[in-house]
Amino acid sequence: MFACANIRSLDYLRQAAWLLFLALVPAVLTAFLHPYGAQDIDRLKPDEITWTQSRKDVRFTDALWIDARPATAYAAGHKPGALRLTEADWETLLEPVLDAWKPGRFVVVYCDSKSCTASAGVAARLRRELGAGDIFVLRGGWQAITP
Amino acid sequence: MKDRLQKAWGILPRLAVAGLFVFAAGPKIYAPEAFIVGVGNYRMLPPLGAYITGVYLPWLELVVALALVGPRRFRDGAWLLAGALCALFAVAQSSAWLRGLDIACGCFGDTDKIGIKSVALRLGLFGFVIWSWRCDHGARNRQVPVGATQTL
Repeated sequence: MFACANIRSLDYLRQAAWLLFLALVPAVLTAFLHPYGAQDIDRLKPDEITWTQSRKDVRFTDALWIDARPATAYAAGHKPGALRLTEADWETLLEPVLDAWKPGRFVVVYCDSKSCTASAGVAARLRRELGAGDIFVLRGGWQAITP
Repeated sequence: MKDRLQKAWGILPRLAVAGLFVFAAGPKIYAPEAFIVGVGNYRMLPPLGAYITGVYLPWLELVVALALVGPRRFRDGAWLLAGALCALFAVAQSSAWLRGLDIACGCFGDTDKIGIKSVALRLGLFGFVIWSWRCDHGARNRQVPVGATQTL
């Protein structure tokens, strides 16, 4: 019985190995033919800026900073002058943001780190609701501001 | 009638799993960059590892789906890989959730955030794959005539 089970297990593994190999062929072709390469992983998206860029670029001198983190994180520390705005509390937090924003003023949204998604969500919604294009996401979030 | 039902019972879950894998693989194959970034966000692999995984996994999902609906020759291996992939996704998501990462799941090319719901969904999917495997296995065993030995 155990010998039979071993033969069966080997069969499963052999088939799985074939499938793993079959998937390798189109994956290698994708890696060679697709314009997005391994070197592009850290490339900035069009709506992203780095902390260094935001400090050097004069257009961001008077930027409106939006903190998209939870209230506890905001209370623990935030960029001076940054207003909190999250998708969860959008209706209550939007008004002070609208009061502070004027057309033409750059907006920078940040969340906790490079991998968080809150800032991208808030930036996209602001773009939709304000109809403005100068809304950026800070690459690296709060961790980039306070390394 | 009973035979037909038994046959359907063996085929439908297998088709459902294959469909899920095609549904998961499609957007990632079409736009691999989003999935590559998504894999990197889990902070489990270096950038090159995230790139290789992000390019390879969607094709593996598609190959597994095709093997599930294709000839029997690769079906057992496809079940093994389907279970392993679901387990892998469940472990990765649980790990990200326990580490408190605020990231998108990326499993079906979506932007839903990782949380208890997405982890539970992944574990449920793993359970469904195991159950479907058993259904398919049972259906195939029933097809072997009495007294005959199944060819391995």
